[in-house]
Amino acid sequence: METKEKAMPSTMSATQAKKSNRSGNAKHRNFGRYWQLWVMAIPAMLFILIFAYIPMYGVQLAFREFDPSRGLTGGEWVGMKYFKQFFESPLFWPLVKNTVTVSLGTLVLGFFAPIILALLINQIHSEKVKSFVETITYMPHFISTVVIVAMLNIFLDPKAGFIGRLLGGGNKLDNPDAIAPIYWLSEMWQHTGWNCIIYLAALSAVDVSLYEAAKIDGAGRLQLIRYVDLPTIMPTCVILLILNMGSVLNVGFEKVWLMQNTMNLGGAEVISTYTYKIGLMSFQFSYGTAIGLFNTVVNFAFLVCANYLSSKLSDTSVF
Amino acid sequence: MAQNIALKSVAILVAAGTLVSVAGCGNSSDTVNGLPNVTVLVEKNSNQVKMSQMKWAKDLEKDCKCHITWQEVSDNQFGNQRNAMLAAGNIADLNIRAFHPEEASRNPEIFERLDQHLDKMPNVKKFFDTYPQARKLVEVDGTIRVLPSARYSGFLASGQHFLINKTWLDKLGLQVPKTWDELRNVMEAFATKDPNGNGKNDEIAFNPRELSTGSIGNWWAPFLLLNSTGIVTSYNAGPSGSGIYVKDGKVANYLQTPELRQVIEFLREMVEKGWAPKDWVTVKDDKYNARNQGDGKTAQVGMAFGWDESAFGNYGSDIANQYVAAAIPAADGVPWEKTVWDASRDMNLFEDYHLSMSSKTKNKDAAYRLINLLYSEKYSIQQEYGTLGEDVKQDPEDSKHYIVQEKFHKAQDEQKVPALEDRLAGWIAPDIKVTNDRGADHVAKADAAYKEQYTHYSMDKDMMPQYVRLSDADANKTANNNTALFNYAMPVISKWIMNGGLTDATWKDLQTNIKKYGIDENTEIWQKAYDKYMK
Repeated sequence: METKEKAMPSTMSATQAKKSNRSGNAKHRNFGRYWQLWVMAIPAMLFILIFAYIPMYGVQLAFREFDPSRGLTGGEWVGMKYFKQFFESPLFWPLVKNTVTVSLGTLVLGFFAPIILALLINQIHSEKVKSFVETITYMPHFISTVVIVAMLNIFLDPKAGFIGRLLGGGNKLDNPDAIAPIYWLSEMWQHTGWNCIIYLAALSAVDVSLYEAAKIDGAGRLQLIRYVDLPTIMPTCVILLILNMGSVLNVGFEKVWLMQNTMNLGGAEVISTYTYKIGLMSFQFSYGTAIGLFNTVVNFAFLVCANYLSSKLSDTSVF
Repeated sequence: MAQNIALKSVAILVAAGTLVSVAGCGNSSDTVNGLPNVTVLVEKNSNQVKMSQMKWAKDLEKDCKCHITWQEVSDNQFGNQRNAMLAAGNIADLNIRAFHPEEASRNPEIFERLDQHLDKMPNVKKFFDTYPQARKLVEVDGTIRVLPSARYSGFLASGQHFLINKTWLDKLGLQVPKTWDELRNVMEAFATKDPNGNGKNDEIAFNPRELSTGSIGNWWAPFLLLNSTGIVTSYNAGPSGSGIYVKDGKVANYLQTPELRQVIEFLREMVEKGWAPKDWVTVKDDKYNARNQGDGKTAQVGMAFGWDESAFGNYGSDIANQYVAAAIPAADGVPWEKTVWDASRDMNLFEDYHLSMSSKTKNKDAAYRLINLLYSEKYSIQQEYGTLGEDVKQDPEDSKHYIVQEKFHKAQDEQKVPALEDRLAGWIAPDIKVTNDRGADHVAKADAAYKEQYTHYSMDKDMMPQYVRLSDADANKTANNNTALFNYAMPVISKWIMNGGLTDATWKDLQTNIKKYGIDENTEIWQKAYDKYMK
């Protein structure tokens, strides 16, 4: 492993150097040769431009006093006023704590569970059983959030719900400390099957001769997984991890919002629900934008860090 | 060559994209069939039929000599849309029960100033002349951009009432409780003596409504029990939900009073003794209502806060008939003369956000004509009670007397109401008499139980009038303080009620913490506003 890690960066930098040498001419030729591909990419690029880049001009709202009559960009410049207001708010730390707890757990569980499931499914030999298990495990992905939360309410009911009766005590949904685990586990239950599909695809690319060679060398099942399967899907794992890091503070709004009640608010108020309350419900668009922007900046920082670390350590990176 | 084709393809794509987006911007037309078109947004209750099925709405178009394009939204939908609509500056020509006066004054460019055109709307002028307080309700710094509404004067009654199962009381030989001690006895008897006689221990002596996450008080909140201690609530609307109350002209917050502690302890006792459900704090409205209404035959609930007996079933049904409204019993150590009742009566009669007009309206004259018609007696009556001659009839001998027909009651029971009811953009003069308005009759009957308690406080000095409003900056300040405050306080209070743990030490903690969340600042802001308006 070590030699590979050291060797790869040098080859990478060599090709990069070559590329930059003849870049001008190459771009021209590249476009001429692959124009069909470029045309195919144009709608997607336009989409990103229109819906992701152009709206960014609205971010200045976070630094302005929103004045509906003068539009998004017409308000008076107030600088960091709303960021300061958020950082000084007594809710700031609880919000960050809740958001990180809920999302970090989801991130960790959501990272390992699909890999494990994919490796397990990959061990099934019968094609029929395999596709049956796949279908069953990815079905919950299509249940809407409202239904999931209703199911949680029903299942966790201490009197009538089968999980609630098993656990005993009061309703776990009313316990602010239990909200995060409930969120993680239900999220895992719902999405693991779906998320493992990409790993299954990666696993199908494993060269069968590798298995045979390993078997001849005396490898058992676990060793096959350890030395053949895992290295094959590792780049996919890392890329997905990096992409997920970009949403570390992005807790899905609807689910938490629906799970909130008077008893669990201490653990269930996250940045996105607070932004909704402040920004939309009480018509403070500037303040809401500032909180949202803070959220995005933190996410972006996490993404860049993860990408940097990963490119240093494992040679896989998104950009 | 290849590049050329590529560039051309891009050009075609971009052109096509632009065309599509331009086509999407089509505006509603100025005229329909040669008549001026007016779009009207109306926020409706889910039990009301489509505007196209309301006959009076067609007559309205005829009388107005205009075409109306109705846009109908439900309460919930609109709650999520309103601020986005305001931010986009895109509202319908006329908006019924949609935007509040503060919202209009905050967005002066979007809303037409209506006070400058009262000459075109003589019916509105007459409304303001008759009810000067209605004008005060919508006037922000001398301008009017939103018109209020006034229902039939029979609605001068709070929307909050304490309802108790009289049949159960009679069966057990008990009196309507006058003190909390008597209330305890009644609750114990309700919970243990099988008053509904079905042999099962399924009675809920007291069924409180779920606590909200963003405020302490709202419609039918259990903290109406504060009135037992002498603190006047006002839970139809206003700052009372965030704890603000007035005593002798001085504004304070009841979160900082020992009276609130007393109420919390009483609610805790109810849970502990099994008089109230163990999960009521977080029970959603559907389940709460289901409990109130039982299985439709056997009553399950002993008492609850509600509008009137219809909280337990349709008017006239076996279950609903069992309940009566009762004066709130006096808290421990509080003499009867000090007990009070919720001060929301005006708010039930008047509402301040019933009609606004877009400044971009193209057919302004038609719009003014339409407003004037809506505020006429003929259409105000029809908005509230349905089509004249069918759902409601005029007394042939007395033109000021209207009689609501059985047909309308049936439609109400079937959840297919052919009228806007309380959402009307209109006013009904105080000299008009309406018979058979079940809502008004029943709520007035319920409210009669509080006649004496209303006299126990001053309507001038012990309540926050509906027309006291905050400046934008102050409103934002209090809203932000309240979000943080109740995010902290409500879980604490809920926990005390459900699991216990309210001691001198924890109460002191709550008091210290709510100060950090700016509770005193809110009180000062409301005091300032109160002083300004009461001068």
